[in-house]
Amino acid sequence: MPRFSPNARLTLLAVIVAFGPALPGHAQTTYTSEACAGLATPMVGKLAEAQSRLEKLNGDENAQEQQSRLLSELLSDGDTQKAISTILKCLAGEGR
Amino acid sequence: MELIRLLLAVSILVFSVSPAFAVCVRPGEPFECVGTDCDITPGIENGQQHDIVPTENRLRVRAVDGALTADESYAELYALVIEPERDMHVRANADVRFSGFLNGFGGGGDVFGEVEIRVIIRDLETDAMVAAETIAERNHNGGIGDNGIQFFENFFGPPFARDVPANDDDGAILESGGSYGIGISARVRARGNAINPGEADYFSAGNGVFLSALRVVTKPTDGDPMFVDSDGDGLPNLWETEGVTDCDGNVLLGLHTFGADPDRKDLFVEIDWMEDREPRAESLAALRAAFLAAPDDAGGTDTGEGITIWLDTGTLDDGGGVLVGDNLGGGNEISTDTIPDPSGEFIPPLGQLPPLVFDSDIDGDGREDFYEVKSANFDLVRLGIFRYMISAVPRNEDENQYPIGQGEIGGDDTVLYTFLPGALMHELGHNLGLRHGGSDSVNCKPNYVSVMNYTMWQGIKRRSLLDGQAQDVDNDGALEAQIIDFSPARTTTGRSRAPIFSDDEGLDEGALDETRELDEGDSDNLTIFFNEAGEPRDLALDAQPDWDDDGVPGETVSADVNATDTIGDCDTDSIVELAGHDDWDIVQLRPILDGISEELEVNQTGSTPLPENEMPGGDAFDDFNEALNTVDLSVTKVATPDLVMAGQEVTYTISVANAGPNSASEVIVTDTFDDLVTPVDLPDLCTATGSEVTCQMDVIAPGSSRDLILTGRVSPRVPCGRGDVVTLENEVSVSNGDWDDIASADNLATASSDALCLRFEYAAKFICGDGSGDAEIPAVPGAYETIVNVHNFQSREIPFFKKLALAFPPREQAAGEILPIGIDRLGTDEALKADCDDLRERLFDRASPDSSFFEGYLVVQTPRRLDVDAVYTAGLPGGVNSIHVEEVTERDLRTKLSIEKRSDIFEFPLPEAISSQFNLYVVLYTVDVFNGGVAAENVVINDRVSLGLIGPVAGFLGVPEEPFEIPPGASRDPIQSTVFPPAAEFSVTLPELAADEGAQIRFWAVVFTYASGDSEATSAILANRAEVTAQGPDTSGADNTIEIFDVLDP
Repeated sequence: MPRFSPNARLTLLAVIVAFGPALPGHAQTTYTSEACAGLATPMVGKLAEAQSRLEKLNGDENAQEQQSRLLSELLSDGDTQKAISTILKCLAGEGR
Repeated sequence: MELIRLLLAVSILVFSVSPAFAVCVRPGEPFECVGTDCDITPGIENGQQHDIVPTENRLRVRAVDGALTADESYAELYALVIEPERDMHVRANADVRFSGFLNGFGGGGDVFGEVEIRVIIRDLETDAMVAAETIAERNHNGGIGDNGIQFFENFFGPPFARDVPANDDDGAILESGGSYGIGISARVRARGNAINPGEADYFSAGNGVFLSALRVVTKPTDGDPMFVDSDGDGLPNLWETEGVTDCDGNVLLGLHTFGADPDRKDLFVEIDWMEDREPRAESLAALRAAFLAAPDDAGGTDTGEGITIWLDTGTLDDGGGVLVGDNLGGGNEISTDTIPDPSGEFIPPLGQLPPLVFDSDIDGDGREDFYEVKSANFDLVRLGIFRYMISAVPRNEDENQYPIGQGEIGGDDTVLYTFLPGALMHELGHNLGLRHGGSDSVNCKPNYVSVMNYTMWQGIKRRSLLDGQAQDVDNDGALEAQIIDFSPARTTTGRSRAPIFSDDEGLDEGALDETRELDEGDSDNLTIFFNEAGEPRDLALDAQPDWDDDGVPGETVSADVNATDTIGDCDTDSIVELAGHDDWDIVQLRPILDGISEELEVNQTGSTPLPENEMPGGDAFDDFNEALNTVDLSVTKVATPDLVMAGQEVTYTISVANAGPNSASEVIVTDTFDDLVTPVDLPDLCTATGSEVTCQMDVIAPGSSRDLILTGRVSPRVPCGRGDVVTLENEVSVSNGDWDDIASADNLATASSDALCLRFEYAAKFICGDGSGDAEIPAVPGAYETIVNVHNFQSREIPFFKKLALAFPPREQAAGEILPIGIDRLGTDEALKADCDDLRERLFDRASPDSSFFEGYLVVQTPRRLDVDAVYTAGLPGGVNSIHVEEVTERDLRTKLSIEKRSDIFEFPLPEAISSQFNLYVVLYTVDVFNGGVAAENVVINDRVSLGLIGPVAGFLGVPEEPFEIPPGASRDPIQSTVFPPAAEFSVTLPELAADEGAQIRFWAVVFTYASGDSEATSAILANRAEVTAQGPDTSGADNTIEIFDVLDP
C-alpha cells in the first residue's frame, strides 16, 4: 500500500511509491531522455487545461503562491500521478 | 339473622391439640415451609364460629353480637409442631395475609368489631403461650368518614412478615421433652344490638387468615454441655468439629470442613453483592490482617492468638481465576429477581438497582427489603452462625444518606455502600456490638482511636508509612500510612492504650491538660481532634496536644475537641468528659439470632434502635478529607557535585518540609532529570518513567521535614558544542497526593550542575608501593613511586577529571576497579601532581593492606588539551635507583564527522505543446557522512530541500516517503513539507557511527515549475542543506554542514 506524506498535497508522491519503488542504481546510465520521452504525454491534457487557469492568475497579488498551490493541486490528479510514476519507473531503469 | 344465632349456638367449644406431625429439632437446625408444603395442624379454637382449612393454610373466625354484649371467636393454626431434642432458643417468622370485614352501627362511640392476628409459639403441653407478636389489630366503631356514617369496613391486610419473639436477643426458650406449636392465631370480637348487630367476619366466602410461609431458627442455650464453646466465638465445639447436625446426625452445615477450629476464634461472614458491587480482594485482605492481629483475649476469651475471619464470597474470582475471598459455598451476586421492585414512591436513578436499606419496604409486601433479599440468598441454617453482608447500591448518588453503609449493633446484618476496608470493618464492628463512641454513640472523640470513630473510619493515621504495619486502605494497590483497627490500635511494639485515659477517666473537655499525652507509649498512631473552627487536626498519641490550636503549649484549656459541622454526627457543641473505649475487649463474637424478615432491636444493651445509621450527607467526608489533608509543603534541592564528569554520577538531595497544620501522609515527589542524566539506584517507593522519577515519601509531621536522595548517571557523551561544560537541569515538584496546598509557590525547585565535556584523554601508567617479588605482590623487590604532572598551557582555566583504573589489585588476571578521583581545575600555566600518597589518601584507607601496592592507569580526561607527564622512580628503600620521565600520549576522544552531498538532476522532457511553460525535474540526492574520529553516538543527519523561485515562476517540490534509503539500524522522522514556499525537511538518526566508518542516505525530490508565457528570464533554484551532528564533541564543525544549490534553468 502507498505510504502518505503528512502533507495531503503530496499524495502524488505516495502514488509514485506504488508505481516506482526503486531508486536507480546508477541514474546517469539508466536515464536517457530518448528512452523516457513521451511518457508525460498523458499529462498534456491536464497541463493544457491548467495552463489557462495559471495564466489567469498572472498579475494577481501573490500570483506566485497561488500558482504554486494550483500546481500542487494539479499534481494530485490521478492521471498526472500515473504519468509521473511511469516517468520515475523509467528513470529507475524499469520499463524502458 | 336466625341462621347466624344457630351457628353461634353450636360452635362454642374449647379443645387442646394433639400434634399429628411433631418434629424432632436439634439446636442449630432450621425449619422452613412455604404454602402447601407446610403441614398444617389445627390449634386451640373457641368462640362462636371458627375452623381451619388445612389445604389452604387458612384459619377462619367469625363473631356476631345483637345483644349489647361482646361475642368473640378465636383459633390457632400451626405450621410446625416441634419436640426439641435439647433446650434451645428459637425464633420464628411467619408470612401472613388476611381479609375480612367489620360491620355494624356504632355511631362513632362504641367499637362494634375487632380483629387481632398474631404469630405465636404455643407450649402444647401446658397450653401456655411462649411468645406471640401481633401482626395486625383492627377495630371499627362506625366513625364518621368522608362518605358519612360508616356501617361497614373491609380489612384486607397486606402481606405481613413478623418475627416471634421480636426484640429479644436470643429468641424464646423451648425445653427438651416439650411439644410446641408454631404458627398464627386470630381473634375476632363483635358487639351490637338487636337492630344493628355487630359483626366481625374473617370466615365467610374467601375471607380468613392465611399462613403463606414459616421459618424457624434455633440455637443452643448457654451452658448446654453438648454445646460447649471453648474459644468463646459463639460456635460450639461440636459444630467446629462435626458441623451443624440434625437429630439424625445429618450434617446441615460443615463448619469443620470450612476450617473452623474449636480452639481458635472463628468469625464467619457471608458477603453477597449487587451488580457491579463485587467485594474487593484488597479490602478483604486488610480486614483479615486486622482480625488476625487482634489481641489474644479479644472478645473475652484468651486463645493465644487473634481471630480468623472467614469471608465467604463464593466462587467470585478476580477475573484471572484467583478467588477474591473464601469460597464456603455461600457468597453470590444477588439476582435482580430477588430484589424487591420499587414502589411508585421511589424511583432509583436510571440504570441503578433499587437500594437496600434497613427499614424500607419498597414493594410493600410486609417484608423489609434487606431481609427479603437475605431470605432469598442466605441459607437459613447459617443464621446465628454467619454474619451477613450485602455490598449494595447506595441510596442514590446525590443524596446518599448512608455513605458508608449500615450495620446492626449487636446483630448480624450489614449493608455496605462502599467496599473500602475501613467501611467493611466499621460496619462489621457494629455487628460486634460497637458504636461510634465504643460503648456510647459520642462520635469523633480524639481519645477513641478506632475505625468506629467517624474521623478514622477510612483508617487510623500513622506516623510512618514504613513501619511494617501500613495497609492499603483505599484499594489503590499501594500502602497508605494508615491501618484499620479497633481500639486499642496495634503499634509496632504492641497495642495502644485503651481506654484513654482509663476505665474511670476520660478526656475532660473542660480541663484539657496540654502537658499530658494521650498515650506516651504509642509512637505510631495519630488521632484527630477539631479546633474551635471545627477544622481537623491530627495529633500523635505520644505528643503533647495543643488542644486549643493556639500554638501555645503547656496550657490547661477548655475546648470542644470532638465538634465540627463538617461531619454532622460530630456536631456535639458541648463540653463534656469523653469516655475512651477498649473495643477488642468487648467485641461480641457470638452471633445472635437476629431478625429473619425485619430489623429487630437486638443489641447488648437493649436500648438503642437498630441499625446504627451512618452519618447523613454524602459530601461530608470529602470536606473532612480535604481539610485534613490540605497542608503547606515546600521543597528545596541541591545537586552535588556542581561539576560532574560525563559518565559519572550526580546526586540530588531533595528536602521536603511541611508547615502544617496536619501531617502530610501522601507526599509525592516528582523529579524530572535532564535528558542527559539517567536515574540509577532508585530508593524504595520510587519509580522511573523515562527521565521522570516519582517517589512516595514517608509521612511528614507538621513542622518537620524529610530528605530524599536521588542519583543519576550522566551520559558518557554529552553534546558540548564549543563549551567545556554542559548544564544539566533538574526540576522537582512535591504535593500531598491530589490535595490542595496552602501555598504552592514553593512546591517546585530546580537544581543544576555542569557536566564536563570529554574531548581528550591521557592514560598514564601508575605504579606505587613496595614490591616484594613474591606471589602476593608481583614486582621486583624495591620501592616504586609514580608522579603524574598536569600543566595547563591554555589561556583560561581548564577543569579536568581524574580516575584510577586498577590493574593490581586484583592479584589474578582480571579487571580491577575503576576509581573516580574527582575534578580539578587549573588556571593558566598552573600545574598539579598526583602521586602515590595522594591517591592512597584519596582512594584508599591508608590502613588497608590492599593499598600497600597498586598499579594501573591514572586517566586524565579534559575538554581541552593539557600537558600531562609521568615521572617514575624505583629503588630500594632510602634511595632512588632509576628515574624516568614520560610525556603521556594524548588521545583525541572527539568524533570527526563530515558530510558530503551530491544531486543528480533529470529534467524530464514534456511534450512540446506545453514545454515552453512547464518543466519537470526529478532529482536524486545522495548524502554521505563519515566519521574519522572515535565512535559517535546518536548521529543525526538533518536535510532540508527548498525551491527558490526567481521571476514569475511557480513551483512544486516534494520528497517521497519512499523510495528512501537509510543505513540499517537508522530511523527517519516523517518528512515535513510546505507547499509554499516549496520545501521539505527530515532527519535521519543513526544510533552509532563507528570510527572510520561512513553511512549513506539517498532520496528523490520531484520539482515541477511553471513559467508564465510572457516571461523572459525565469528560473528556480533548488537549495539543499544537510547537517550531521552527534552527541559528543566533534573535532571541527566546519565539515559537518554542506549546502548545494542547483539552478533549474529551462
